[in-house]
Amino acid sequence: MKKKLLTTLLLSASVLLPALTAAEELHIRIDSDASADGTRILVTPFSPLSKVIEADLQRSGRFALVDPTRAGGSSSPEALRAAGAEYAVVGSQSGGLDFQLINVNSGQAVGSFRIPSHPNQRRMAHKAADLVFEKLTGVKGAFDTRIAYVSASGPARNQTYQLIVSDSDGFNPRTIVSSRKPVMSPSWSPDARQLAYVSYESGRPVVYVQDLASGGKRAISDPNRSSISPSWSPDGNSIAYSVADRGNYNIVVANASGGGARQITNTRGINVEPQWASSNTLVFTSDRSGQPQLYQTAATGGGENRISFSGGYNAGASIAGNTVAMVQESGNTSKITLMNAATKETRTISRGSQDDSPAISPNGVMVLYATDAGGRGSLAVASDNGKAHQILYSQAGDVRDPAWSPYLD
Amino acid sequence: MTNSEMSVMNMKLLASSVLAVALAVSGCAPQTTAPGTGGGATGGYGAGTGGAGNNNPYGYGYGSGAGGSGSNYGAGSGVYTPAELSNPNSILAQRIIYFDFDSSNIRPEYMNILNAHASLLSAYPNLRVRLEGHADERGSREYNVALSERRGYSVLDYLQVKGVRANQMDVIGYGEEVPADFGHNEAAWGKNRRVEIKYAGE
Repeated sequence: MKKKLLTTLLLSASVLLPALTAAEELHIRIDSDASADGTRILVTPFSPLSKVIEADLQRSGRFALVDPTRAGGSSSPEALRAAGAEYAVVGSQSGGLDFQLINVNSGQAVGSFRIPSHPNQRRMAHKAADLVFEKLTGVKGAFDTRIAYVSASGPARNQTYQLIVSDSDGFNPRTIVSSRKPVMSPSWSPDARQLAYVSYESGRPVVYVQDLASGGKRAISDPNRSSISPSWSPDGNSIAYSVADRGNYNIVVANASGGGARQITNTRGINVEPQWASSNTLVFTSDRSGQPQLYQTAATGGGENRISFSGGYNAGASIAGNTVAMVQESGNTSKITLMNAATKETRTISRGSQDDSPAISPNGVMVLYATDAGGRGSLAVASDNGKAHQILYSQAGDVRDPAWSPYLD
Repeated sequence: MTNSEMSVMNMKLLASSVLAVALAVSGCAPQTTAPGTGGGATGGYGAGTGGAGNNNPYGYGYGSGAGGSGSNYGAGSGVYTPAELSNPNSILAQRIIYFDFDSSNIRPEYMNILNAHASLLSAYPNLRVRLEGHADERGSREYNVALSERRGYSVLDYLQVKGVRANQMDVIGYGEEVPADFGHNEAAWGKNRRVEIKYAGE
């Protein structure tokens, strides 16, 4: 069943996306891990895209997908009920998708939707899954989003680094940077049209901003000083990053167009990985207490205080609403932990032993992170409740350092 | 941009700890080059011409008055020459030093290598090196860039105490981005926690 789902996903990707071959060699395979509980939903095979909708819903950890063959190909409420579904997606496709979300017990449609035809067929499925998800959970869906990540391939000390952008499920990958020098730390602009990232192409780490449509890029940090870990502000006007000063790093906030850098932190030691918790608050990693911990500060500077207390090593925050995903290291293992910023409650959601670089979906429901899967650098996506978990890996290299886009329009 | 009093103060602390290391090392590393050290002069770190102290942008100031004559690394007078950089049997062929976990302290067994490079560099002020710091894969990827840069500066501080001019050296932190060994175990991690000395033009 799982294998079948995987095969279907692969087939539909190759059939539906023949034109987008720029990063075909980095095709990502998805292994699914069914969540046994959650709302029982059946997606009837009304479209070749039904499997994509299924996979999206499953990835959220909120649903138990009911195999549509259990309804014997029927969409009648009786058959759907007999199959064990609480809800069902039925519909038709003629160009666009027309579908209804049915409450199986009452037999009533709780939602009726139309997704217009789109050249990227899989996006139509993601939009449909977003609507179903929001209807049943009250939370805006984030399947129709994109991710950016880094792939490294080739022998040690002589690797090629690629910055890749794909759909949120790893399909439709496109290489936007390829370099013989390290590339790292992608961060999306709030309109998802540009990426900030770090490249060593000039010999030292410098922050660049690149337009995805044109490919045009520019350095926005001082080329003579190492600068790392950019993060785009919610209003799109600023980028926070960290600048080196003889082994110490401090946070600055600069204009997204470059220039105007204002220093926010000023301590000896390491202050890196700023993330915007809101339009006027930054969360960052600092080792001022000895080991790295998360701190917050006003985005204009001042009022710094520590926010992570559970565990001796917390770093690499990614934030959606009140949820903070972070790297928590203990002994020889590092895990991804979610913290509620208000209650400080934490929950570990990753399953590897060297997990790193969490990137939380804009609705806070899923977390993408870097993990080691059988010796291969891979991405994993876990639901915030820990129930769904998938590995995404590339045949072409080690993949890592993911960033999740904001909602697309 | 960030030269607070605090960081200057800490720089001085750092410098004095490096100095202490250097003092300790020279005691156990008699082959530490430097013509003139056999002449009985001790404690001449950075003394030489006194220039090391004067050129030091951080104002450590050691060397001034401490060494007097005798331990200079006069231009061209070192026991090593740049030609030896391409001799695989020379100690100068050793360009990598390794670090303990979560540490930027220079391990004693690497001091002979660094002393040899310091001797060459201080004798040939036109030589330039880039000190490339690296980290193992554990911990946060971006935090590791900063950690690895700290290792690079640890080497820079040591070489500076040994008479190399600040303007001969540059530090880049690569974090865990350029592993020497792809393994996921202590043996591999140990090979990845390193500083590589890269001579300009090579």
